[in-house]
Amino acid sequence: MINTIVAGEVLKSITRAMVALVSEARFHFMADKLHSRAVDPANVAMVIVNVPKESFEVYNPNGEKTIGVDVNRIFEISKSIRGDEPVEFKLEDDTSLNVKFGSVEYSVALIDPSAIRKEPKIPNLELPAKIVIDAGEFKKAIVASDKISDRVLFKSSENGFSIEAEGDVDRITSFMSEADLIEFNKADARSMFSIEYLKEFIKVASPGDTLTIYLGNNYPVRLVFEVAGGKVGVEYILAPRIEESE
Amino acid sequence: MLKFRKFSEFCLLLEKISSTLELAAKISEFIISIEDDEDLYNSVTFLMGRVYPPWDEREVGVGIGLIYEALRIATGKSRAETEDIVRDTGDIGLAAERVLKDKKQTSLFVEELTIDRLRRVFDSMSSLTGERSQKKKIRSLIDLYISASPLESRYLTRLLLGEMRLGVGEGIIRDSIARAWNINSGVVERAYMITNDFGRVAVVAKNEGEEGLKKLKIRLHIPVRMMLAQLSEGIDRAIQEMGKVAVEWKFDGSRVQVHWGDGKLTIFSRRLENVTKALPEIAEDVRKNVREDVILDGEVVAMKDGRPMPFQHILRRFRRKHEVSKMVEKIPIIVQFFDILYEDGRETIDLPLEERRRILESAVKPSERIRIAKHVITSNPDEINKIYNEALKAGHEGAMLKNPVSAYTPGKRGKNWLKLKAGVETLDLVVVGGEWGEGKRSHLISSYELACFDQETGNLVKVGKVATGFTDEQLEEFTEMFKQIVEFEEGKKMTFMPKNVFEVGYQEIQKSPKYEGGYALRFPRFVRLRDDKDVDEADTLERIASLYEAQSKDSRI
Repeated sequence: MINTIVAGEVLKSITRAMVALVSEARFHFMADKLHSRAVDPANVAMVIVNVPKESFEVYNPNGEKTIGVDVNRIFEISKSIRGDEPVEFKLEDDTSLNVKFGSVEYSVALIDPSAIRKEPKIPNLELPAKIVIDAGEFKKAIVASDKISDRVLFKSSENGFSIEAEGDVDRITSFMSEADLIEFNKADARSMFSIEYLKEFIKVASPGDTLTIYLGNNYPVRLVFEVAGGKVGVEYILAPRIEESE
Repeated sequence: MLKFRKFSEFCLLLEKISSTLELAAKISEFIISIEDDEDLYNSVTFLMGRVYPPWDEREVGVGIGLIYEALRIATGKSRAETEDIVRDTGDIGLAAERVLKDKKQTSLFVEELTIDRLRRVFDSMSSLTGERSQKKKIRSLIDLYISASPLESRYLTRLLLGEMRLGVGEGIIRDSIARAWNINSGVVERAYMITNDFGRVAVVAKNEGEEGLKKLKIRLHIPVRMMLAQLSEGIDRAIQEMGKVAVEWKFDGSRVQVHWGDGKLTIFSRRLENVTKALPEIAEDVRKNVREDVILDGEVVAMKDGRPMPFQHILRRFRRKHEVSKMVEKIPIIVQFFDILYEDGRETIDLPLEERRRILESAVKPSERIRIAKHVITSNPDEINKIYNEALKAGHEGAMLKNPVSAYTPGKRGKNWLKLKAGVETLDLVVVGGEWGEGKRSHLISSYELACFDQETGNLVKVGKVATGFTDEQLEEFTEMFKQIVEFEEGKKMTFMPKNVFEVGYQEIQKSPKYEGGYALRFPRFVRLRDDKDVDEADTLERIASLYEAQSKDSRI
């Protein structure tokens, strides 16, 4: 059966990414990667997690295998694991998962994958603007905007990329010119999003992580994070809010 | 599969009809057109503003707070803006409809709402527990609101809050089912009284007709509607009508129905709610002292030093979900059994009372907490009067006069059971609003606005406010309770969802132009919370008018 060893930070990132939207998820152990995706109960956002087999110290799925996991529980447990601590995953049978770190051995019952909401197809989105940014900068802009509003406007143009929020009496703009960005294609695009979701997403990233934003016009956004030292790919797709007609 | 859009359009049509006959005719046409059994079950249940039958322990658990939050995220409008519309329209359903005409949040996948999809979402919401469940419920609600049309949102919101505002009560649903499949309405009524699940009654009626409904039997752990009593017109009159009278005390407690069988024990309240967890010591004693495979009818009484404690204490036990063991010591409770509805695989309700009583006595062994109510058969008025006075002296309400040869008729308030009570008139009124207190009581809702039913329109009509008769402890408890069901606030005043009934005393009823019903209570005083009564069992404008008439006749003498 499945037998893998991975660094604590990888496990923390995977579970943190998923709990932003769901509490239960299916994990697919595939030949070349571990994959999971899920949609939040409101159908407003989707999360896609990919961990290539190279990110594991030992990756031994013994053929392809899908398991159902209460990610909430594992997320809570993973809080006590150090980032550089190796964690061993073992699946002896279809009923329980064994997680071992240091002297601790944690065993948790699995969920029948068919009882978990079916994963949707990943929507095919044509998004003109591509912005690559330090996740730490993005995080700062969202945290500040959350103080004054429940929504933010993402804007991309020739001049640069901005995140704007408007309160009753105040306003926040985070503007980044091409020079501040890692990569930028200068395409025109703008869409508005709920901070409710964004503030959950940013918890997965730390300063120094790379975030690639694919933005359209009044269209869903793709936020592609590379976290845990590039070992884990986390993508969020978020449906837009309609801008107020002035 | 039935679209929720079609269901909502049908509700809109019903809302415009006031004639009972026409309502029943329209509903029967609608339900007979539903092919799928699940859709039929759900539609009938939803029409009554329910997701589950009252005795089912599952609940969706969505209150006003979660609805406001989901609406805020779906529409981008603040709670205060939505509350303003509730104030104008008097209905959260209409407010939801209006704010959702302009949705702000979009979703990745939109799927049309069907009755079946709502059922799946409700079932999954009701299975959620734990700290993250609130958030998950809000997200699920957002999905429903994004998928729903404005009209669908009106009825979705009302359904979640348990108030469809269609003027469709049990009688109309009964008549609709009878009419749809050409079945005697008495047969439908009986089937409902023993299953308490109109969805199931409709499905059986559709597939198996009248014969199928007749075959429905009382089942363990599904409550039967309790038989009710009329006010007695006096001892002599009762003897005249019954000949011999079975006399019991009328206990000052709360009615319970105990189901014991298949290794399981369930206790239901008069409102058919499952209150097993609130009464662990009764459950334990019944397991030990009662023969298995029975359904018993009785009254639980809180006793202290040999006297009943106020009725309020028992209801507090029913509401309590936590710290039950602490309450077991604080409020000692006994149960007085007086009837048996089912025994050893068969219904006993059609047997005469005397025979049921014999079976009851053979099945129940009295213990510390379990009693069989004293029962005397007599036609001597002095003896009845003596028992009545003993009951009053012991702190109970009076006496029950029962016809010893009568059957047990679930849900009926007939002439076979009469209650003899010391007569202080009180009214059972619906609590529709409240006001924060002054000074020391400024953190408490200390005044409550009351309403009765106008039977002609089915509307609630305000008749006054009550601000006296409460203990501080009660006010604290009620403040906590009513805070959960505030529809909107306006200064210090607030409007509640009509969910609770207060029993109030008063000095007299006056004619008053101040209130729309034309009557007002003079010096109203709180007596108790009638937690055992549903809102639709509250007193009517008609009764208030007749009490007013009686009172003015008295004053003329």
